[in-house]
Amino acid sequence: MAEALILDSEAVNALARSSQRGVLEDRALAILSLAHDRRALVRVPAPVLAEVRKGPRFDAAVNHLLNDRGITVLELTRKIAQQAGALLTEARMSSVNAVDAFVVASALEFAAALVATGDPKDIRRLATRPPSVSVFSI
Amino acid sequence: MKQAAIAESQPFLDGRVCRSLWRPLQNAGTLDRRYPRVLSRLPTYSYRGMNQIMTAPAAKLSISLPASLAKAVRKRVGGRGLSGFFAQAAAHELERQQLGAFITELTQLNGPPSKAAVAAARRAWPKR
Repeated sequence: MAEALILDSEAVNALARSSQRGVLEDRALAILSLAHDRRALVRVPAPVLAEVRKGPRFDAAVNHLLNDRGITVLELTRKIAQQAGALLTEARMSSVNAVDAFVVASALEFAAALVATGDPKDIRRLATRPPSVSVFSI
Repeated sequence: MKQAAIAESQPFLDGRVCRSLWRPLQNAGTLDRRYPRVLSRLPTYSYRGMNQIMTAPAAKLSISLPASLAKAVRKRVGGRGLSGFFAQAAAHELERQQLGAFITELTQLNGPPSKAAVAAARRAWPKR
């Protein structure tokens, strides 16, 4: 399976509000360009959408990002959800970190993946299983 | 019986309800035999969208490609896997072109990413 860039909520926010995010947008654009160069898929795990909904005005920007921009929502499946539960258990983390676990479990669906996140510490704690998941701090 | 009644009356089960179904079975030592039956009661429509691509209406297209390429693809995926192979390839290429256009749009808006950000991205994502 192809490589993938997985966008966590901070990366989605940075790209959706690209005119207002300064440094964050700079790093998000850099990793997006690298993904394009490497022909990687760009995916937003569905649970991330729960974190980026902030009212109609901002939701429009997120929906704009997810329509015909080559950035696709990765649906939450039973396999991913159960994998996320296993990761939380292994890392001794609670369901407070459920969305982070869904993100890492989604990344594990690909042969290799990089997670672009504003929360690299928790993602690294969860991403210990092979195949390795790389982490990029937005 | 009580667990079965809960399962049938709840359209969606949260973690607490799932555990209440699962624990008595685990405690009774019958988990292996009955757990799949409990899971089968969970509403599968909570996963709606998972098979969207497979259930979407299909359109028939006639395309031409070099004979050598067609032969190589047939050898790789067989006659019955052709549609899936080309659908996946088309979806990937379409996404790639859309992503390229979006990057151009962002670059025109805010300028290209800084050298420092590009270097950090390359360090974080080494080539396989």
